[in-house]
Amino acid sequence: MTTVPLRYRIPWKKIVVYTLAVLFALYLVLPFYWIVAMSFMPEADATAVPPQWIPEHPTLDNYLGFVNPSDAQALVGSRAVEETPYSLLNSFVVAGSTALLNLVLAIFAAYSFSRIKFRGSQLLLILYLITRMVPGIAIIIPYYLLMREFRLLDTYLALILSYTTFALPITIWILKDFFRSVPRELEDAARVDRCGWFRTMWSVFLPVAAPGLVAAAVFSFMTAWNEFMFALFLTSTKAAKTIPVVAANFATDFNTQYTVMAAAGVLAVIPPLVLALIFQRKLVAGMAAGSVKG
Amino acid sequence: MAEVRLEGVTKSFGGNTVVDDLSLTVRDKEFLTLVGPSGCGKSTTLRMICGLERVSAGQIYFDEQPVEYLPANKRDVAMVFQSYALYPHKTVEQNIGFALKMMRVPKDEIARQVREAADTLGIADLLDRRPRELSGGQRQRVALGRAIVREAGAYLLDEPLSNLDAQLRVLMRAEIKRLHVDLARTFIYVTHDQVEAMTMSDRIVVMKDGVVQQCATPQEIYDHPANRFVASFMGSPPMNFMEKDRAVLGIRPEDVSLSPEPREGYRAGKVFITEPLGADVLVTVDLDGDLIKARVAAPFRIGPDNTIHIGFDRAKMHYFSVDDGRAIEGDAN
Amino acid sequence: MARKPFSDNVRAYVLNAPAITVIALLVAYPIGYSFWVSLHRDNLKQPLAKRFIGLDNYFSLFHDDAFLTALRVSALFVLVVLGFTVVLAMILALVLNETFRGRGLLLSLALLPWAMPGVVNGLMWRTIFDAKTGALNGLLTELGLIDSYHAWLTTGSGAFFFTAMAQVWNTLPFSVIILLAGLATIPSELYDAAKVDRAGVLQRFRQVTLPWLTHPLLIVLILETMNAFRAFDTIYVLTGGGPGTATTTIALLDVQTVLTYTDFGLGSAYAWVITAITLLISIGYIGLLYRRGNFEV
Repeated sequence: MTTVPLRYRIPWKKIVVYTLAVLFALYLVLPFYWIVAMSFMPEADATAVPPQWIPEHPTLDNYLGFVNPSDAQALVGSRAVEETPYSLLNSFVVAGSTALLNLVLAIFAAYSFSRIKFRGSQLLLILYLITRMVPGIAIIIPYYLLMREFRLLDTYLALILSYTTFALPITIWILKDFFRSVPRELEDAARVDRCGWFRTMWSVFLPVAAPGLVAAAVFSFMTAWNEFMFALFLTSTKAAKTIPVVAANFATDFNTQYTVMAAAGVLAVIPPLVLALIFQRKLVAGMAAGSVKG
Repeated sequence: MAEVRLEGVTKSFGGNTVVDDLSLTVRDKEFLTLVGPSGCGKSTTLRMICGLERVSAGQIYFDEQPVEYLPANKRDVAMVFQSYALYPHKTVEQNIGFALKMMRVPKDEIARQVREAADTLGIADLLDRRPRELSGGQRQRVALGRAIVREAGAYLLDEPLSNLDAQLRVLMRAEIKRLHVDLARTFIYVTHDQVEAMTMSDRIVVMKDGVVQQCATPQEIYDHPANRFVASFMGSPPMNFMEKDRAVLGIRPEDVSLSPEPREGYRAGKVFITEPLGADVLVTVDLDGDLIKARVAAPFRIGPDNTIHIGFDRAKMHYFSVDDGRAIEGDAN
Repeated sequence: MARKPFSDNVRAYVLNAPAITVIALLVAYPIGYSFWVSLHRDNLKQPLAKRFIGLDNYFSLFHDDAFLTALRVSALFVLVVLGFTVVLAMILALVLNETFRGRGLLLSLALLPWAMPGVVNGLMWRTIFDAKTGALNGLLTELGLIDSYHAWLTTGSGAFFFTAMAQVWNTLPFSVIILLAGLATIPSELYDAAKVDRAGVLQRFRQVTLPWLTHPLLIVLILETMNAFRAFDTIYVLTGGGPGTATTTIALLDVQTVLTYTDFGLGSAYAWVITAITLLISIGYIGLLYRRGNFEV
């Protein structure tokens, strides 16, 4: 018997996988890296040809300018710069309230789908899903007229209400799946341990379903934070303008310095990005399960 | 403290009747077991006693007080669940003390009672852990602790041992029985395991298809099964049956004797297969086409296909009607 | 205190009541009202001319050049975005389905575009595609691929293509996640069996992977079609619809009609066309979910 020499095989598969992984990593991260780098550059460096890939004179001026406009910026008089800090606050309030309100409304509905057999449950689920499919553009006009009627233009409430309706169907779908994974016997045990329905929900069911609640809240927070069209229609001053609206103002404002715009963009992306990274696993699971982002 | 009485209790889901016109009295401080194959309605019955399931018809009384409209949290019961249903976000201590907290027992009193229960069950060193950090046996003890910490009128146990491995199950069987002695309370226990039913209970209720087949002490059920179903379900290995003259003759394997030589009243058959059980040997004998199991003392050294003589203890024979399987009176004795 | 509990049906609808109320008030009512508005001549600039005109707004769409152009742009935009998204997402999902060092990091990176608000996405690509200072020009020049800086967004086809690319970057992660979840359900025995049967890499992909991915792929197609069809934020910031009408999708045209020309009647008619098309697509989606058994209650 002859021994076959072990041939060294070129690990093609490994090479391909690693090459693609590196290329994709660059594709995903470079665009974002570019505005982050720009946001730390003085205007002159940012417009240099050839471009500076690494800031040569790193500076925080673009960020500090939002709270404390420099003379030059005051001269240019960009309203967007002045409005940025307010809009960040507005976005936090609106997105936070949306997440909360949404959760409260969705918990009850999702609970019914996960625990009760009732007539029309499938139809109702489909109706919720269809609501999610309705393009925002289809409701913005009457919604705008409605809010004008109730003198709610340029208020938090108008935004919170509309974002809650956007996010509600998704939230219900995510929660219904999470709730189904909570064993029924836990609720039975709580009843035997002398809890009424409300107490059972509060002390046992909701704490056990907490991971799902967090995922749903993060989803609706991000939906609200990122939304632009409704905010564009419904807000007009720093009283309620959210960060996407102000960021868009940078784009339409001819005086805008790209570096300041980049800084605003970075500020706008940090909260959703941080949330996405912290809750990566749950969001991925939620997205895959409900196939839910609109 | 609590006698539990069911009168004509019926439960149906949709058009499907799961428990049919069940009447039963569980005496105070009794250990009563509901046993039967899966789907016989025993768990549903327990859940109705508990208040987790509403009755479709009939009444349930605790000490003559009607309770069938009360939800579980208003009835004086404690329950051990098959899956244990421990609250995953609470520590062992909080799990056991939760019901007391809901009953607004003062904090230090809760701590004292929880510790007492934990000591009884030997889990005092686990009080700070969470359920996911516990083994199956430890979870089982916590689930028991959650029940015994309360001064409930009735303790309901829904297949509490079915998720344990065989060794632990035997151990816990004895512990639960001892717990019943110590607590001196009404226990209602559900199982599909006839050995548990036989070994633990004061009385057994054998159910099938939502109907009670027999309700009696373990010995009575073993000695005088009310029908063919009870006879075959209770006892391991199950009773042998032979059809004879429009009656079914039943005899338990332990009441069958074997002899290598022909004897008075013995019939000849062939050894089909032998299964040693340690102290005993289970011998299956082919008797004119009927396979009869006999449990005899070891050793047994006759191999398959050899002739063997088989005898039945006349006093222990049972007769059942061919038509409805009911025991025919005046048979064995 | 014997209180007869509610029946399950009543309980379920009581629990759903808050959600139903909010949705009825804030979605169903506005949609109905929007249809009503679309039946009117209703322009803020001509308040006196406001009157009921029936379906005239809709009939006018057939010879409304702006509308027909926008519809064409939208359709093309959907095709281009969808093509790139599906191919790139498929490759990235296949890569992420392998085990290699840094996989977790790549997965995290893949979430980055997803977390990015559309507006910021637009801003970002604007600075990258910039004619005088953009990173794309800088990169291509340094790699020696172009001699001088190009104004990428000034030609119609250029603006269209680069806008589509910006949109692809933004929506890619969603498709990747769905495909990745689909890939995870393929039993590894199937690959082993195919290997034993001497199938090559490409054959394994064709015979094992693709058939298993039919369903997730369809979901990706439907949802991404809907996304691309409604795309607004990125385009609004990146090109504002220009140059000319090269990137004026139907969503953009609608917003212009309402915000700039304050023509609520016509804007509502546009919106209804968008809604009708979207609902048509979503019927396919729901049908798909049905077959997947997502509706088991």
